[in-house]
Amino acid sequence: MNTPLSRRDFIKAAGLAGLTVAASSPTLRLLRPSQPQTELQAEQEKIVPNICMMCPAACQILVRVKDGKIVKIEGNPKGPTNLGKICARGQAGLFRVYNPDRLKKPLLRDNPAQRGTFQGFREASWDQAFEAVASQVKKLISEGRVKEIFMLGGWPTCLYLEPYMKAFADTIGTPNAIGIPGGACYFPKAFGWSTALGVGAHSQILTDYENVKYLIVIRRNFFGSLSVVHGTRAGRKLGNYKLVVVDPRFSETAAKADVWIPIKPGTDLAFLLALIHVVIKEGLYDAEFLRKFTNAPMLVAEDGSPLTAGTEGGKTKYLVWDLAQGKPVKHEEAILPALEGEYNLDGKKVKPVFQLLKEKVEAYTPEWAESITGVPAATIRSIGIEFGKTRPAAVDTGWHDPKYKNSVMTWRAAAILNALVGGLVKDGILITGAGSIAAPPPDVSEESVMRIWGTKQGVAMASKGFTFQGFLDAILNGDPYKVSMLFMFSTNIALTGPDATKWREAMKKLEKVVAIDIYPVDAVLYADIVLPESTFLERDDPLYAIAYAPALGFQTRVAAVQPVYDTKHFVDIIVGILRKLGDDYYTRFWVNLAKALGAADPNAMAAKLKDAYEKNGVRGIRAVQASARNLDPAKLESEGLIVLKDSSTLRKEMINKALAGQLLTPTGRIEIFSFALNNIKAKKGYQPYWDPIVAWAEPEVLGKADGRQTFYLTYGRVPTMTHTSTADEPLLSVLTPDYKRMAWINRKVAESLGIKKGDKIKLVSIANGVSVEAVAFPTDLVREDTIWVSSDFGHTSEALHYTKFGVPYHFLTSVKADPVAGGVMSQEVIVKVEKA
Amino acid sequence: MVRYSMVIDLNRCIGCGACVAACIAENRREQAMRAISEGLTALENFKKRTYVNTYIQGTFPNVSVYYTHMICQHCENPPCVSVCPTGASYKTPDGVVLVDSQKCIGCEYCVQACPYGARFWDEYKRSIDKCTFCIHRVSAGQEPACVSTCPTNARVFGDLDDPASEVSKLVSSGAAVPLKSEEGTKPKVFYIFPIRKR
Amino acid sequence: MIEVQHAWDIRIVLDLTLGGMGVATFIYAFLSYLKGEKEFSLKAAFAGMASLVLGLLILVTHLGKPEAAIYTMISPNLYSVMTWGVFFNILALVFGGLFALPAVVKLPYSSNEKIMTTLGAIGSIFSFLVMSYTGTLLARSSIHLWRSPATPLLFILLSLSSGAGLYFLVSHALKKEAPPILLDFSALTTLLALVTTTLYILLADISSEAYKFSVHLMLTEFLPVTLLLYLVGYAAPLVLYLLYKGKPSKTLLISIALLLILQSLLARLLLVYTGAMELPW
Repeated sequence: MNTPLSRRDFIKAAGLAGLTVAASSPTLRLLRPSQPQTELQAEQEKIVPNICMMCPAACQILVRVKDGKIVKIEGNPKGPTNLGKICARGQAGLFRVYNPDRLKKPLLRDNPAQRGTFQGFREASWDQAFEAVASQVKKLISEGRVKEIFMLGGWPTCLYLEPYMKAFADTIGTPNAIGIPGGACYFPKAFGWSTALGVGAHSQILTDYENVKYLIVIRRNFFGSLSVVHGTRAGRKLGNYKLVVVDPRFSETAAKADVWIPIKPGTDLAFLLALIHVVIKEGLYDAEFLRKFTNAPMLVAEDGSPLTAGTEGGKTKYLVWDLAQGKPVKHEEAILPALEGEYNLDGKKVKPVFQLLKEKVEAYTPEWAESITGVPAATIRSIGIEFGKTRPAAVDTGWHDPKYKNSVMTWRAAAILNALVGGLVKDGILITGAGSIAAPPPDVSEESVMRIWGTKQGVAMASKGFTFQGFLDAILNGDPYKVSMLFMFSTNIALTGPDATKWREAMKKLEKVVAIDIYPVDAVLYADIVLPESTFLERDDPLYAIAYAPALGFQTRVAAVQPVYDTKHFVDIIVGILRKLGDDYYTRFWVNLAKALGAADPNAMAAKLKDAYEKNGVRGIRAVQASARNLDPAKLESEGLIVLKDSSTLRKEMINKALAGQLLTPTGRIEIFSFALNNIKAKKGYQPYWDPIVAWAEPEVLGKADGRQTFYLTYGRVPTMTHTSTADEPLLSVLTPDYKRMAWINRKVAESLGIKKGDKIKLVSIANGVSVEAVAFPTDLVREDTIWVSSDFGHTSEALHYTKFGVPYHFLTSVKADPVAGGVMSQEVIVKVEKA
Repeated sequence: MVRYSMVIDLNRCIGCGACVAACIAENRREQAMRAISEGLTALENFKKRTYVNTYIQGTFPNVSVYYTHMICQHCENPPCVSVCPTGASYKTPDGVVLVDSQKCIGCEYCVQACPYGARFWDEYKRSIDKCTFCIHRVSAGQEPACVSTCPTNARVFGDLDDPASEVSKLVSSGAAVPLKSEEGTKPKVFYIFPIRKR
Repeated sequence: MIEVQHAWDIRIVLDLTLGGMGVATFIYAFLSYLKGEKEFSLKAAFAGMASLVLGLLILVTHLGKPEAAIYTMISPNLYSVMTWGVFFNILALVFGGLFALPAVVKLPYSSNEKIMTTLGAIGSIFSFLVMSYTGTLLARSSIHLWRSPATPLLFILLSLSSGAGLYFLVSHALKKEAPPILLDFSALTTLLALVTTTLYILLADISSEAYKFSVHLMLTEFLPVTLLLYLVGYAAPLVLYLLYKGKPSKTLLISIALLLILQSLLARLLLVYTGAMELPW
């Protein structure tokens, strides 16, 4: 018989068990309250300065590194470019370093038939890869075919890579090397500004968002594409200025505007001309500014030729009519130069430039502009009057505009409108540090394909060589001569080249394709030799000028971590190839590099560079560059940047330069009459696209869309992306809302075509018949005759695992070149819309 | 006494998503790395401590776009704290509502209790997660990551008990208002609403 | 934006259903124990506790970190309904379990009526608390649909209905007569549950956007469930009850029992899955 368990025994047993459990250490650990982390634990982190490379805007950043891993990126509060701020792409930069999709080792492929896929590659050592490149180069050199080698660079050539790529090409002996952004992005806009201001590239001019009170933004979306330097300045001052956004689509910038002008695509020039008309007609212009800072008083003869008076210090001098002395004198000697009127000089009738401008814009009334742009005349007139009455007022500098045949003239008109209200150099549009030390872009070799093709097309500025579009003819037709070996430096030409399908076809025909990149993007899939580059956070870089900021200084990158994979710095890649070609090539490279970097004594500098590189790699190059400018390399390494002139100093300096006639224009003044354009007119005869003063010039697509069957195609950016180069950044890919990847079509139009949100549609280019698939987004945010897509997507590379859908924009474009700058005319596209 | 608070100016916000990315990089970097290794689907489902929604209104050409920001409101009367069975959800004397991951059992009662949808289950961390006002940065004299990075200074952070702070001024002037005050949670994130002009 | 809740899914619904059913069965079992039905009552009570345990096990699979549940003991938040719920469940299990275990295992006190009655009474009290806390738990959330006194009331009614259902099934299995008063009672609770559910739907027009949306979901995406609930969960047991009153049959009783359990499952499923919040973003 069992002894029943007594109650007391039971309780004793339970109590003992409970006590044992409570006393055991795991339980004691549970009892201890956990402390939340309250310290940044800075003592375990190191902070390394770097320059963000998630987009071209070159924001200064500080990288927090812990236990050899990047843990966070912060804006550098001392950085004059981004003022301590960083956008979503910059924040996502740390994930780029660890992105599993990255190219991790050199890759070789023997079967060119597999180009276009990621098949058939085998991993190789760097030595094998350099050998593979060098053997082809040697072959071409020995056969006298070295000019068949051509090199294209993507946006990293802006600010960073170009001198190295050019020096590389020069050393090998080919004239065919160019970054594509000139023709595909900035040169038409830059040239347009420079005809008035002497400078105009992105890094060289900056809108004075801090002080402007009236801002007209055309063909730009700085809150949407988000260059932080502009977005942060314009954003903090929202509400301080009246914002007028001119855009066929309601962009992120239009979302902040006081007035949105949904203008007909390509007609912004007409809008600006009408504003110039209003400002002059209403007498709202700043006559004193025009007299002191510009060549508006310059006398011009009836045949259109300016009355020059020799050159002094490399600047063209000219005559003005001095009202005080009643006679023509050099501008510097005049007390009160006339802006208007007609004068008699040795029996010839002469007029000041301003008088000619006034006569020219007489016809450009708001009513005239309304018929072209679709913007009501009353709106144009009231904006013109408001703009003219507000100080400081400005038309924004713009950014990317290779879009139309009239892009150059559009930005010239913007510059002139700014000049009329005193909105250049001293107010409105400032010249940045990089702009203050700029030189005109050099001419490229007459033997280069770019220049020959551009000249044949009649591009006025063909000598600058930005017309990379010409390589297609060289590859496919051997015109002007065959090219057979391509080096791609961080460019996705298979997706971003105009008529991209042709580019893909062309790359299949080449003998050898070498790709230097961080990701296996579409273009890399056409390579035979893939040389993986280290990301910006994994490398020490040479010295660069601080770009975009209204301050003069220099900056650099310090490696936050050592390369995670078997990748190399682009300098090391170039050097590695050249070493295989031979010692003479290697030695010559340093001389060419010193030249490309602008050294006064290239041979002496070359010796220093070579020596420093051999001792210390790229850090050595930086040290040499720094000492050449009397900058402390140690300070650069710890802080990342050195500012030599702050913004107010720089502004004063540029004002003085302008007043003294020392701007980068031929006359040294702001040119209301452009000598550069006058030279073009002298060579090519007159066309409004290069009118020396300003003129209406039509875009090719004018009137070609009916808004029912045919539409103007327009494109833009999204704030979580940088062109096509961040489509595979994992976080950014999912942080981009789907509707920004779709084709925007006016809601009413969509309804009439029976298209609903999410429907698959086809965009068919009228010009080349190519059709691409898109997902429809019917919306009220776009004109009825316009379709908008983001050009940031459309990747098809099977080796990218984080990309999502989108529209490959450049399948729909064709090879074109604008007659002045040679820009690709990327928005001169008319499409039909069909249901898929 | 310190009462940490945030003001979000929806006029300044340009909808760029820098705050969202900064928060992930600062506070959920390891989780994000794991989601990246799992692939696009895991990333699509990656939950966030803060996010921005876009709203489109009107008919062409009279249209407008504005943005809203979700973030934990660090309420003075937080329903998430009162419903948490283990006390894992708690409020600090500085007015920051935090989660003690060790004590969280993942019942998600707090998720149902929060009228702002600010809390979520983090399967990588095995705990409920949400905005902490970057208290680890604030304690070191810095600002929360989202505030620090915002290019247009749309987010402002500070002490409501300090009358000189920008948040105090914006709240006491009436420019910045709380949301869902009828729920009685006394949120400490205030919004300046977008002003539409015609 | 309206956000439908996703945190609580079928596992919560099953816990609510099984738990609510089990504790009601226990109470009925204890009452029948008091009436003198010793042996059968213990078995019914055991079935009730088993259902409660099963529900809790399913609940544990839903918890993100069940091992931290010990903190409900170490650092309980007494303001939380869930904390009280944990206590109630544990105490219901302890006392109810001690009461019901003699059904399957010989225990020294099982013949002691005083002890058994005390255990059963305490177990019943905690069982009732378990039945009520679940509704209160939902009512203390930000989901407007759940946030009314109707929710605890409905949950109690559903527990009582389904608990009767389980009781009938156990009776049938052990070849015992189902007490007619329990059948009448379950018809009453079914009727009241139907009225309460209908009130939820009717109140939508004078309620918030989130509430309206929940009811909208009930009548669109979840219409099949709603219809099933009304036809199979409410109407059918009432009809069968009337038929049974006219002509009792074993089949009818089993059917009613199963329908009563289904009633609780469907109603809780509908309520949980259509819960929504309006977020101000």
